[in-house]
Amino acid sequence: MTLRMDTVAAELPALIARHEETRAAAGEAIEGARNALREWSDDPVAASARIEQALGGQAVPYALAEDDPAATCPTPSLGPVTVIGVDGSSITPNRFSTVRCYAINIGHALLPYGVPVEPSLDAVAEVGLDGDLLEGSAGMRQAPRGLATRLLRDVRELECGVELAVPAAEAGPAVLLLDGTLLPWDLHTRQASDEALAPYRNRTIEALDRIRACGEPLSMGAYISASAAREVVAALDVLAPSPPSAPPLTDGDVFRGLLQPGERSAIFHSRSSRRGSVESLLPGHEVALFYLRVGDDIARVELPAWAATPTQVDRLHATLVDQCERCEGYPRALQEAHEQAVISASDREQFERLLDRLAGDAGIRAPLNGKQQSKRRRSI
Amino acid sequence: MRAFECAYSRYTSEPFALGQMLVVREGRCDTFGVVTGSESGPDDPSRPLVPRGDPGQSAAAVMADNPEIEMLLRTTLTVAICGHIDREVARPALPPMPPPLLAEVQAATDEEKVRIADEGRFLVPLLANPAADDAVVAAAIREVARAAGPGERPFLVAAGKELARLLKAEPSRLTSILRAVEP
Repeated sequence: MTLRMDTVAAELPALIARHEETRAAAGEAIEGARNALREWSDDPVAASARIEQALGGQAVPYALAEDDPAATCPTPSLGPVTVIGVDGSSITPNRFSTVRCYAINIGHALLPYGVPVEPSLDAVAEVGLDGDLLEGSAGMRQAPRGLATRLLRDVRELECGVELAVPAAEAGPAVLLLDGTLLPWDLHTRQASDEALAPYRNRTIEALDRIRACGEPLSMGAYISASAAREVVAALDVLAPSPPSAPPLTDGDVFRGLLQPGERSAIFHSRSSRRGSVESLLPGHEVALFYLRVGDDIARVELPAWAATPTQVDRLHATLVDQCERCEGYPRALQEAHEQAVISASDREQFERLLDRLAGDAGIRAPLNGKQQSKRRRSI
Repeated sequence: MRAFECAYSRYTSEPFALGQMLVVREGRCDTFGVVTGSESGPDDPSRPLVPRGDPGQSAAAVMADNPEIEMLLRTTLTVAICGHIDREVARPALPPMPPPLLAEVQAATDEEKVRIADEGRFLVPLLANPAADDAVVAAAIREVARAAGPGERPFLVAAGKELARLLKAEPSRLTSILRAVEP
């Protein structure tokens, strides 16, 4: 039986009505948060000190502004640039498979605009045994396979970006775009030993160091569409606590009314305790961020703090606005990188069948477990 | 055996023309054919091609401004086979084997065009192919005539005679092709 549409359809109108009630209640909370932002803007030093005193060292993630937190910046002009988008997709080792192996597909789009660089759309795939992910550590064996695959995928995305961006930046101004967070959050997992994580951490540091060495010609940003982060909101809550009954706000709720299409917010620095832990693992690679309005979307853009010079930020900002105009509100380079990287449901099934067949040819046959056998046959 | 389809990536920079003679230089023999049609569109059918660019902007400018587009489009050419060269012998007839899959397709040289056309005999396999309509046949004749250089006139006369012989039962088609051949 598939999803009972008749049942869920009957419940949807009530859900939508409840959503509307929540939205209406959020309006007041958003206004309160914006007032707090103005207060912060009036005296940034004193307000930041209050926020830091209240939240410093606590588990609540928050953000502090570099300058005026309520500042808005219009879209700068865009010159010739090469835009590199990187995205990845993966197949996690399947415990039901005869041979447990992972697959990672890293797609990229290298798109020159007025720069003499050859455009490129491509993907690089790699496979390995489950054990390859756990190499060198018994502790990592406790980690979920999905986490290990995801971590390797994140690191490979960054490395692929470096391989493309470094030569591109030698030919002219370039912007490297990643999808999602800038740093691999899973580096901070408690589900794996330090020994197991060390190779991934070292590879991340090496990749970031190579990007930093490119200097001003290369801008870098990790793009999170419709971000649900609430680090700025947490800071504003210190200045003007929202009523306990108020629905939880996101940073996007606050900046939506503040930013006009194409504008970005001030640069903030995340003080998330979790992120702090990741940053402590990656010394010298602190994360800066800003919010960008693209249509109705408030995107969060993370960048290395060392890549937050005015030239690099202006190029990143202008490029993102231009890229989003080219692709209905999402950076074209990331869209095309995604298209190159995506592993469809049929690809996954084909991969699994190919693996089973080749393993069978090699005389490896694992007994099918009941669940797998039943799901495959689906007999009546 | 009578026709093949091939993907072509240089649609914008070096487009093949209708009736142009192409060659596959791999396999048991070199296989020659005439372009009977081309179809261009997104490589991924689930991604529709949407209008791009500003009003008045040329297609070339739109392509240059959107460097990913050319890589996402695919042109498929349909080619009617009209001859082959086997061990240096040119034969205006179907080859014994189809050209290999994934083999590269190139434009035929002027010398090859004239050899394969063989004073109009390449029209036999061409007219037998339903994909080679009057416009294609006429374009192919014009193409070979241009390649013949000083032999243009003699070739056109020979091709006209061959057409008349092959289409004696179809006078209206003969007239239609001859009119289309005229400059």
